[in-house]
Amino acid sequence: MSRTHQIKGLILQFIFIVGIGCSQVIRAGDLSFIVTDSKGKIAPNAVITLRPLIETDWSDLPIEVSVMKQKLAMFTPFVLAVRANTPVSFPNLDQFRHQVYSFSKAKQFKLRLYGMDESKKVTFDKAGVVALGCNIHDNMLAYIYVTDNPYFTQTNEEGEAVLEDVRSGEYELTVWHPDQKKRKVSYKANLIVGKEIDRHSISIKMRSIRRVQKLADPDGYLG
Amino acid sequence: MIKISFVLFLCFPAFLFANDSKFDTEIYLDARYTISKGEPSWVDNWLGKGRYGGELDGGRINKFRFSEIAVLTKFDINWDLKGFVYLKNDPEQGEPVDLVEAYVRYKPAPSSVIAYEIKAGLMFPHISRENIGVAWASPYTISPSAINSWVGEEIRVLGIEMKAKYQGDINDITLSAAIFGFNDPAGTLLAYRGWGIGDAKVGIQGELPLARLPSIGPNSTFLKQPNWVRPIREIDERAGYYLALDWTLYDFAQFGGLYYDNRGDPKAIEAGQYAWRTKFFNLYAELTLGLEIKVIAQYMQGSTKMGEEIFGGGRQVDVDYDAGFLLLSKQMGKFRASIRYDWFKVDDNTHILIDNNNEDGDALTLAFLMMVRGNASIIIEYLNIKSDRPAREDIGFESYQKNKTIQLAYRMRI
Repeated sequence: MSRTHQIKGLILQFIFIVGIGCSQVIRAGDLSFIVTDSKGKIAPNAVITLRPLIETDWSDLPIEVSVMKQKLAMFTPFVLAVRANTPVSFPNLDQFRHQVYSFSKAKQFKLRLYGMDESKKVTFDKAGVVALGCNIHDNMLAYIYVTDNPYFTQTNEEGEAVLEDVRSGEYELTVWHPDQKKRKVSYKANLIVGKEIDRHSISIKMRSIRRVQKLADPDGYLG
Repeated sequence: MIKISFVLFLCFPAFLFANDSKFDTEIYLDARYTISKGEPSWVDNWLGKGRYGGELDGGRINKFRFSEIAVLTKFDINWDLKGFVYLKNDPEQGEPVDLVEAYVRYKPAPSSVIAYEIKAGLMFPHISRENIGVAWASPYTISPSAINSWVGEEIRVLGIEMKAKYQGDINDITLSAAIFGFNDPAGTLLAYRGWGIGDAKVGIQGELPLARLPSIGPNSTFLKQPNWVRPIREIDERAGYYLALDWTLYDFAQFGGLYYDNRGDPKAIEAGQYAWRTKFFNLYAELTLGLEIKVIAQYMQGSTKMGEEIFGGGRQVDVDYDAGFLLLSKQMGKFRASIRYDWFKVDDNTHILIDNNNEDGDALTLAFLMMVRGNASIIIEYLNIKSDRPAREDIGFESYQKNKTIQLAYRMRI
């Protein structure tokens, strides 16, 4: 299972193209995105964040508990984006044990979960990428993307994502993906919300092989 | 039974002190219908290459067989320390119960980019890329390749293995090192029988037959080697070692190598068993391609020596060997189809007429597996082994032989 977590250089920022195909009617303050790789292949699990360029008080934005499940010896979801200081619960829905761990700089922890719906919470207080593994099931792999920014979303299986009710203002847009190529020229792309509200097509440079979480080995010796 | 008790005794004390323990036992059954022809099998003291051979005249044998019943127990001593015990019975073994593997493994959750692991007990070094299933079975074929058949027959270590695994962004690199004993006679089969292709595994008490060759046995004046070998045995009180490097690129390509040296003292002999000096390296490449196609290749090369030094610096028995295979397998839902080509060779470095251990051969294996209800599978396999071994002439056979087998196996886990 491959995972590292150097965040440096991993966050790429991209130009987005404004105003492509405004056939749909979208409310002011709503943004929609579609992310693809450079060959036009859709990119699920891309995390899109907006950093406000003008300081604003965001403390009234609610923080909700997020969930990273373990079921059939797999993590769900594969990528989970959360705001810093969000507690994430780790319910083990399997009948057997999982030992969830991360040695990423953004958060190091070990959780022992006996199964049968046992759940423990971890609060992710530092921005960065946290790669998750299970010490018992080597196939298990997932990422928690922790951001300081008030607005974030991630692309679905169709490579699409939506951000609703974004306050008017100027933002810097970033995109992160577990399979992005490292050390590419990053862009600081500014976006003004409240004016030409639209649909953004974003193309990112990705590795030719995409990481997936494999199914558990049914014959695994030490389960 | 003394050996089994000894190994289990080594593994179990930790378990007694555990307060967070868990047992998980399963039973594995393998029953077959086999059609085999050609020279009789080495298992019956001849030189046939398969686990099942033909009649003395080469005629066909059709038979229902029970091939193995095993009890496999995993136990969690605590979150980081786990144990595994694999006991089996098969018709080829002498004792009613034999021990194939028994080890404890300490694997703490990694706290840095390098993960560590320690394994101690009776185990297979990780040579086989085929025998990845429960009870060391292969999901690809019934009979493993020549290389891995031999690993099942003679290679087992009682020792300690340490692993360090670097978990990179797209690469995993693992370095392993082990110190072991109790594998001194390994190599005997490669010299006197040569390579074989079959899935009979030796246990810690296992005794494997050797053909009635003129150079060995009670009437031989050349060597004190009886017509059998007990591969899992300590003879010379010298520890052996193996080192391995494994590289995984994403999850789709794996490459690696292992070097093994049992550091046997070729002159040491105890209870009729020599300590053979057996060394080999094993290389592999495994690719998972699109369309659920897997390609596996392995190559092994090594040598084994035993007995007194003879002129020219060699030993009384002194052979080099190598073997390789290429396997292609495709999964189609609950079905899996596999094809494998094996080639193998033994080079006798001595020129002693009554002890000619040269050999050359190849084999084709075709197999089709169907999963049944998740815990059982049916496999049909066609195996055709062709080999030339001059020593066959010493026991009344032609040097060149073909062994053909068709097997239908039903494997079940309870």
